[in-house]
Amino acid sequence: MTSELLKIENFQISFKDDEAGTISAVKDLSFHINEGETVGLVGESGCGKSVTALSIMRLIEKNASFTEGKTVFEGEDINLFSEKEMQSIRGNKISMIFQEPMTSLNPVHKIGKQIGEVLHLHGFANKTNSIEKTIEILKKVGIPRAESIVNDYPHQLSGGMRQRVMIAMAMACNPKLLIADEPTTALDVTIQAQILDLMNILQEEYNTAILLITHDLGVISEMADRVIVMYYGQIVEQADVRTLFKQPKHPYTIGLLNSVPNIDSENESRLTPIDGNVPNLGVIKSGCPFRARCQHAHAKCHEENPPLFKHESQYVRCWLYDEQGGIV
Amino acid sequence: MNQPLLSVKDLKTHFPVKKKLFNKGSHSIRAVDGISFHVNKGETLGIVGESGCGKSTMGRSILRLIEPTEGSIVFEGREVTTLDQTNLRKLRSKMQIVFQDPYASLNPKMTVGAILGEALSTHQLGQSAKERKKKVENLLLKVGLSHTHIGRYPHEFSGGQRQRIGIARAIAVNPSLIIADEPVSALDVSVQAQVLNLFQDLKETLGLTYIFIAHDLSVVKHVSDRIGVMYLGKIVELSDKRQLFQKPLHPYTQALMSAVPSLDPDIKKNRIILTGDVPSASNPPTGCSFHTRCRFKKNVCESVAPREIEVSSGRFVNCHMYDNEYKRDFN
Repeated sequence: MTSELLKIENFQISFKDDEAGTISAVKDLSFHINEGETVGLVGESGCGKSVTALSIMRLIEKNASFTEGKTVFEGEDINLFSEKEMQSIRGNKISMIFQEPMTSLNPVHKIGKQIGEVLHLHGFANKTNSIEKTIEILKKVGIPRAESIVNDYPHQLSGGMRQRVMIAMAMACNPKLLIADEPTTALDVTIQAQILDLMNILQEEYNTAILLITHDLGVISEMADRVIVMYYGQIVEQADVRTLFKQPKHPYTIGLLNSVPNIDSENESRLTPIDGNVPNLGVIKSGCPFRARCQHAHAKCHEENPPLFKHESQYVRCWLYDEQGGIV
Repeated sequence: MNQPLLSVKDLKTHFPVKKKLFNKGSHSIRAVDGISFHVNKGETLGIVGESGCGKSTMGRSILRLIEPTEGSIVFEGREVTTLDQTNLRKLRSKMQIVFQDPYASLNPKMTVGAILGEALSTHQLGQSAKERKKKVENLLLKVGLSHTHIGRYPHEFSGGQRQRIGIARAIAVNPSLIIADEPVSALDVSVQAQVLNLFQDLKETLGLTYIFIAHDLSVVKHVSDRIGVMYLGKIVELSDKRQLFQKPLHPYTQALMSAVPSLDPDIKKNRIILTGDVPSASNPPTGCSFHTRCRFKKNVCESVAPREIEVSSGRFVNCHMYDNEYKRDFN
C-alpha cells in the first residue's frame, strides 16, 4: 500500500487587484500525491497551476491571499508552520525546479557555492566537504567535467546544463517531493528528453514523488502516473494517465487532446480546436467557466458551477456526468 | 516541367564577430552555412530544427531582411540577391513573413486598421482611403476577426487574435509565398490549433505556398508536405513528409523524432538520447557537424564534411552512411 505524502485540501487563492478588486485564481482545489508517485498538473496559461505549486511551498506573492486550505505534508499541516520551520522544509523535504533556470540561479555566484549553500543550510555538508559533495551531486545529474563546472557562473552554461544544475540543487537533500514547474518548456526537444530521462532515474533511485506542472500533454503522457487537468483555477478532471488519454471525459480535456497534432498518428485530418479563448480571471462570476467554449453547454451550465463528479476512478467537473456518478 | 516557385542554392549567412585586440584572423558565426532547396507552388515546406540551428536566419535571409553572405535565391524566375531596394520592395509584396511573437511584431501605437492599411498603401493596393478600409474589413473577416476590431490596438487582443492580425498583414498584399517563423509556438494549445487551421484554410482559398519554420516536430508534421531538418546551419535531411516519418535516415533526425514525447501512454519509445549540447555555430565541429553527438560516428566523420546524397527521388540526406564512397566504413 502506498502512503499519502502530500494532501492539498480545499485551496482558495486570490489576488488583490487595484482595478478589478479581488480576483480568485484557484478555487476548491484538493488533491493528494503518494510517495514515489508522479502527478501531472496540466492546463493552459492562467489556469492556476503555477500558483498552486508556489502556494504549496508558501512562496506566493504578497498581494495574494491564501484564504483557506490545508497543505498536509507527512501528516502535518505546513500552513501552520512558522517561516523558520518552513525554511527547513524548503529545498530539503520539498524542493522545486522552475521553467527558466537562468532566472532562478543567482548570476553572481559560482555553481559550487550555490549548491554548497543548500547542503550547508540543511546540514548535509560542512564547510570543508561541501565542494566535494557538490561535485558528487553534479556527477549524479550527468554533468561532465563537474570539477571545473563548480567554478563556473550560470551564464557560462547552456540551458540544458543550467536545468541540470537546478535539478542537482533540488535533489541535493534527497527531497520527498519535487515540484517541477514546466521544467523542460524552455529546452529543445533532444535536451528535454535528457532531462526527463534524468528525472526518471533520480525518482527511481530516491523514491521521490514528483508534482509535474506543464502545458505539454506529451510530457504528461510520458511521465505521469496520475493527471489533474485544471481550467480557470479549478480541477476539471482527474484520472490515471491511461484513462485520461484513452477515455477523457471533460469536454475541455477532450478539446485539448484534439487540439494537439499527434506525431504518432497517420491521420492528417484537420485539428478540432476549442472555440474562443481562455477567459480572463475574474470575468466569469457564476456557472461553469468553460461553458462559453463548450459544445455541450446547456441551461444548467449557465446557472451553476458543477461540482467534481466521481465516475469510476475518474473525477470530472461537468454536468454531463451528473446522473452517472455521485457528488464527491 | 514546372519551375519551382522558389529555389535556394548554397545560401550562406555569416555574421562577423568583432575582433578582439590581440585576436587576429577573422571569425564569424556561420548561422546558415550552405543550404539548397526548392519550394513548389502550392506546397508547404516545413523546416524543423532546434534553437540556434539557423532556421530563422534562413527564413529572413530569403526575404533579405538579413543580407545573405553568399548563394542564390531565385523567386518566380528572378534572382533576389542582386535586386536593388526599389525592386526588392516590390518583390516583398509577393513574399511575406509571419513572426513568432505577435506582441513584438505589431506596433502597439497603431490600430489594427492602421497596421493593415499601411501594408496596403506601401504596396499601392487600394486607391482611396475608403477602398483600403473596405479591404481591411475583408482581411479581418478572412482571418476570423470582425470588422468591429478595426479601431482597436494590439494590446486589446489575446495572443491568438494578435497572431491572426499578423497573418492578415501578411496576406494583405496578395503574396504567393509566406514564410511563417514559429507562428504558433507562443500560443496555448487550444488556440494553436485554431491558428493552424487558419493557415490551412488560407492556403486553400488563396492558393498560398508556405515555408513553415518551427521547432515542434508534431506541428511541422501536421502542416507540411515536405520537411527539411536543420542542424547547425545545414539541412541534414530533406524529404517527403511520409517517407521521413516512416524511416528517418539521418542519425539526427532519428534522435529528434525519438525525443518527442508520445501522446499515447502505452507507447514507450525507444529513445535515442543525444549526449551533450548543440555545438556553437561560431566554432562548428570539423567534418560532419553532428559527429560530436552521433552514435554511428566513424573516423571519416571527423575530417570530411558529408555530401548531399539523393537516396531516392527527392529524398536528400547529408550523411556518410548513405554515401557509396564511405558506406563500407559503417558496416
